[in-house]
Amino acid sequence: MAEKSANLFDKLVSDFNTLEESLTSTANIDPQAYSPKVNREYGSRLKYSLAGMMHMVVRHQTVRALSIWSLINIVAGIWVGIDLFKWALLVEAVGVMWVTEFMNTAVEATVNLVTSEFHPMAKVAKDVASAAVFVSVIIGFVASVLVLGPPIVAKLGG
Amino acid sequence: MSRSRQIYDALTSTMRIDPDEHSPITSSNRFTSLGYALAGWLYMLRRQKNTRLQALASVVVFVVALWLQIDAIGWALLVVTITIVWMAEFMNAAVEAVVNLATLELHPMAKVAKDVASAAVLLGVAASVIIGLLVLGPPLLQKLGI
Repeated sequence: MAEKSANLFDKLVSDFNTLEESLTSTANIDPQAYSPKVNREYGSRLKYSLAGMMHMVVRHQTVRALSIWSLINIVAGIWVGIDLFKWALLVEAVGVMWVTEFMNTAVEATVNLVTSEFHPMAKVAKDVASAAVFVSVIIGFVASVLVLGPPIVAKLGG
Repeated sequence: MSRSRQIYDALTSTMRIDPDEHSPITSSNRFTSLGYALAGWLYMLRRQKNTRLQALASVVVFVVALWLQIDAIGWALLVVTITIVWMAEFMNAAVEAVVNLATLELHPMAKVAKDVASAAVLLGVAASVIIGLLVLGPPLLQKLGI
């Protein structure tokens, strides 16, 4: 009986060790060992973000559509006079669209970097990323309409 | 080929690709997948300075929200906004890893991918700062008696 429980304990310990090993295996990888460029200065990341922003503004027309949609939301929000929580919801709804759109472009760029062939997985990566944009646009649009719709209707009706 | 047939083919073309055929490892069950997710989490906390900073910021926001006793809608907004920043940050790290995996050269598309992904994080952070101010600002001012 004692031997059996000792065996069980050993098994638990070894199970736990494998679990710990598999969970920390990714954390043990040092990303800087695989990066061509390592940045030590702190402000550099902001610089790269702004460079990416400039790229999007100059090269991608969707940014124009996103800006117009954001502007419509802001103007409508000011016009009907919504409260702070509703402003927060609007920022959320529009912000998610922006983030997903940018991530989609990042995935596209990565795929084009890897291969210029028409690989099936390249298609999956691009199509799924753009499906994410589609979902975020629908959800964001619904959220904006839910927040702004009733006060606009009230304003126009009365 | 008819027009509707063409559209049908275009729409189902991605669906017909089996990702397992192109993957070196296929997750055997849901628990293994969960294990990978947790491993990714530990990686972020250990290797990314920004993630630790973000974890600290999230805790500070939660403590302030507890202190100000904001209502359920305020909490919901805070949780969603914090989650989006975390998601953007993790996706950014994933894009960086994939780019470094693809090439060690300083290829222009590598730069575009990394810079745009980190621009997405910046946007997420900007949105979350605005939401944080909108949700926590007024009760904070009230509490401080301004």
